[in-house]
Amino acid sequence: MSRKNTETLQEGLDAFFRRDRESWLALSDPAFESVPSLDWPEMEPIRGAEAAWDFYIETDEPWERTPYELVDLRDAGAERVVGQMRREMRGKASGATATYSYWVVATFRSGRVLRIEWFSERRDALEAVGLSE
Amino acid sequence: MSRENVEIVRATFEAFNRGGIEAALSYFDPEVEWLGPPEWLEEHLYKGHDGMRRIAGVWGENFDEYRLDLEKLIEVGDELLVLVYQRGRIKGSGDMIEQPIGYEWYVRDGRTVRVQVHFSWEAALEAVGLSEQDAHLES
Repeated sequence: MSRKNTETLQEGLDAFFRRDRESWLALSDPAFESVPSLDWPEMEPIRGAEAAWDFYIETDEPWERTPYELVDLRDAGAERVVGQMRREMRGKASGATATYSYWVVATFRSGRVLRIEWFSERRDALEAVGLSE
Repeated sequence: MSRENVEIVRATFEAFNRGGIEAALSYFDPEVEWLGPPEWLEEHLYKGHDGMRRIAGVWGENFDEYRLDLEKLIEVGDELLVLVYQRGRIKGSGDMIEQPIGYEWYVRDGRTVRVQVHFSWEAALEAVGLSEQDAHLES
């Protein structure tokens, strides 16, 4: 697994946590795509790094700011990494708590994140890159 | 529509599948209203946490194993349309069932306040004026 790629992914999460837009954009390919999980209300991919940043900020807004964990990373070949993103969340207004847990397939190009595909289930993320549990 | 509601609903199903109705109750308002589908032969309205326990008991007594797998969340005005598969093993027979169920789901201030159940995705979509095509679902 490319250590550089996994470091880039973690740096992106850290930049997002700091709300450091410039650093996050610098780690993302300008043609960045965010492909929604099938269960999300969003039907279409979000295209462009700036549009994706705005979407992530908007979706995160109702929650208190807590760090993301990137765990169970696996090399998926062809500049791809699959892993789990998780965090404990608490609603700013409601105080409601929830565990955020998604699986992502991250694709890289020239050291930047080109595409993030989101999955609610581990097996679906692995299947998307031809791996199995 | 707050994105918070999407994660609240996901967390509700995750908690239910992990620990049953008791694990999920914290996501429901104490005055929640759970409305059965028109064709439901039992009590139509289940109110509050005790009502949730009652409906979970009534429904769950038919199964040895039971879970609700979330397939799609659709924003419709100030509500969410929640499409799931209920999967379970029928008590005594060992037969597995898989049935699409739809919910009109209302969340206020981080708690679910009202759920209208439909015994098919088509009925749920129709209730909010959508088609399967609108929802990007495969037929």
